[in-house]
Amino acid sequence: MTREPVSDPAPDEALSPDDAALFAMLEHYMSSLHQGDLLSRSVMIDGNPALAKWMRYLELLDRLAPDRTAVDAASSERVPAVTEMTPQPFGKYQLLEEIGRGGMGVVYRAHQTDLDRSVALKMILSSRLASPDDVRRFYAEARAAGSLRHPNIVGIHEAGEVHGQHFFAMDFIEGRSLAQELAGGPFDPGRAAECVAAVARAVQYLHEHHMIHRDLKPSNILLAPDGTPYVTDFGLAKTLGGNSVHTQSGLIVGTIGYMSPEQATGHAPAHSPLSDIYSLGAILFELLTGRPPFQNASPIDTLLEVIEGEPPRPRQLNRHIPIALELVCLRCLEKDPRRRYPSAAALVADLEHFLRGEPLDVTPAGVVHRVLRWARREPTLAMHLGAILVCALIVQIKYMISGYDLPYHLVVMFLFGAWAGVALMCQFLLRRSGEKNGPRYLWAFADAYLLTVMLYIADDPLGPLLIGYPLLIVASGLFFRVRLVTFMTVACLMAYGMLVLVGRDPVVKPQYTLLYTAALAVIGLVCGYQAYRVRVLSGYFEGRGTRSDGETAANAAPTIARREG
Amino acid sequence: MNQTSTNDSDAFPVDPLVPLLERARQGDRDARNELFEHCRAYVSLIARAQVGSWLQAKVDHSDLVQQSLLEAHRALDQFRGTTDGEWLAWLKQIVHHNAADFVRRYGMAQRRKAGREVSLDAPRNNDSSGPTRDPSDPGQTPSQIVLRSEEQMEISRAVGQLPPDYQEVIILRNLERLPFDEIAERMGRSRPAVQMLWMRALKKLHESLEP
Repeated sequence: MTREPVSDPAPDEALSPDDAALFAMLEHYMSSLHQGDLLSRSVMIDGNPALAKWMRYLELLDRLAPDRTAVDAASSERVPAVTEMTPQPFGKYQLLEEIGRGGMGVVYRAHQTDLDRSVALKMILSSRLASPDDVRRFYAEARAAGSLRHPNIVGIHEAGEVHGQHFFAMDFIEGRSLAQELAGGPFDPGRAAECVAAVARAVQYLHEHHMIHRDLKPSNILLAPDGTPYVTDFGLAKTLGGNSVHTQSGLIVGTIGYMSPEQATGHAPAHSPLSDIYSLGAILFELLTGRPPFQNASPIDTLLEVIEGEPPRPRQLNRHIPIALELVCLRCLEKDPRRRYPSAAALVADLEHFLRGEPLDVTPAGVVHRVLRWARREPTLAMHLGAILVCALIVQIKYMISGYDLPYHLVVMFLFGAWAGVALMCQFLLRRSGEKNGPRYLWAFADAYLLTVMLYIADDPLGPLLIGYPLLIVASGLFFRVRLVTFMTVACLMAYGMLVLVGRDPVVKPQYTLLYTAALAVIGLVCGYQAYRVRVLSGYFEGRGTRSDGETAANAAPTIARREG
Repeated sequence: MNQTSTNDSDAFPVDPLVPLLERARQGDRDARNELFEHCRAYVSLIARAQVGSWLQAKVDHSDLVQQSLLEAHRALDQFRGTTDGEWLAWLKQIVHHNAADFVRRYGMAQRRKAGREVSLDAPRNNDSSGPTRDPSDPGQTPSQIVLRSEEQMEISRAVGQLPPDYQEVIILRNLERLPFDEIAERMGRSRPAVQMLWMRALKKLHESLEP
């Protein structure tokens, strides 16, 4: 391109003050344009109509640019936070302040000028609107929620767009979310029951209108100053009757700590109103005890517990919880949806029974179910006791058949008993101490040690019994902790070395002994590697999980950030 | 539930190109020429932004424009869109493919690919090698501001009539989205000078658009 110095200004020439101001505004707009932030456009235009044509030029020119790359799209995630701002006009609304951010968008407190009322405006982040699918989802959410009117549901007034910015307007609830309220500690049982009953009535109403909320959690429930709870954020609600193309099948939606096992496994067809019953139970659990049913440092552990674990009994965490409420709570949290309350209405009925001091409809679980529940709650202990019981039974039957050498038999049985005792003790320590690693290592060491003692006194030939070591290593892998697997492997290798040294496993063929040792090490390596892999996946999951976990829904605490420029 | 939609510039007719497009598709030669003449400035401007200035030393962007217009001409039968927006997006797509081809040819690798890898999809007709991307996928997101195609072409023409360094600063800043520091470096001027140049270019643009 040829360059002519015709229009080159003198180097020391500066922009006139007017031009400098215009330049600053255009620059600001350029950057928000590059970030895909359309909100600031409408805000800027409404503030200064003369700017409109300049901004139009910038938009037109920007449109001519090569299509955005992934890099640009990534940078567009930065959306300016608007809190404590001066009122900004937005269509027929005045934006007053940002009150929260969710997965789909920012929520502002706003004033609706024509009807002179306060509303909450939920804006969809333009970066979230990358595809027509997102827009469809947004309007589906609005449509689904807009037709609903219930004293415990946040009503939706309108959905639309202003200058390309999609939004919807809903009731503004002055108050705090249940999550914020919970920061002050658990509720007393009566209040918890009343609160969950009100939410359950709203959920029943949703179900009657063929909607599943699917993301019920304390931060999605707002408490008005008089204590009335309001259900909000139907972002993931799925219309039962209509077409449900908006939800990709199998996609895990919901927040891990409160979602039902069938949601956690991602079997989309398994979603049903009963998933919401589970979430209601999780909320009741947290209101009673001050913590969600499953709580773990890493999302993958939480996920595993949601799928296969059993929540602790609420009364173990808080002695003052009435038995009746514990029953109601655990009934909601049943793994098998068919064992839960058949409807939110049934849950409401039982909560009302409790509040009036009447007997409940729900009956305590049967013995078998209670044992199963216990086994899920304490899987490690259950596995230990089960394995010890089976081994002891076999030895006992053998003794009853042969009836030979009672003292020896008693020693063996005593050792089995001791092993069970050690397991119980370790489980006790595990539950008592906040720090889980110590008891786990102790347990691992005790297992390796006791196995070695039993092998030491066992009859020859040891051969098949040596399978115990690989078994221990593999079992330690179930915790998905590389260090624990390493620890167990080293312990087993040392224990086996001792057996060889004291001549309990005589070296007949040295290569066999070496091969067995090597195999033990390799098994440890494989299990450790598997644990490592799961951790890597977990880390990935965590990166994505934090968003859904940490997201603040409507009316959450205003984040302290100021609008730039 | 009522859905409100507020958009300025409703004064423009929605798809002024469509009648021309229809006639051109039915084989009207004059319409065809008029259509492409109408869109030349647009194609020219996006071509310059697509090529990127590092390549402009080696390639005359008018080659790219020529090539792209020729291809659009040949493949007109395959354009299936029904709106101006789709038409412009289609043109942009063609320029994009050709630009990628140019970059490959003159790029770092320096190796010439056998054959021309223009179309992303397999051509639907064997008698043409034109691009056949689904025109209903203009790569726009619904949240984007509605921009009238007529305005886009007008502004392209206006930019094309600016003095060369006005054009350059607008292309670098608005179409290539470079920061001013980098523009200053590329144009061999100081940063304040480039910023002023940009402001002047915008004003000039404004003058020519709204006389």
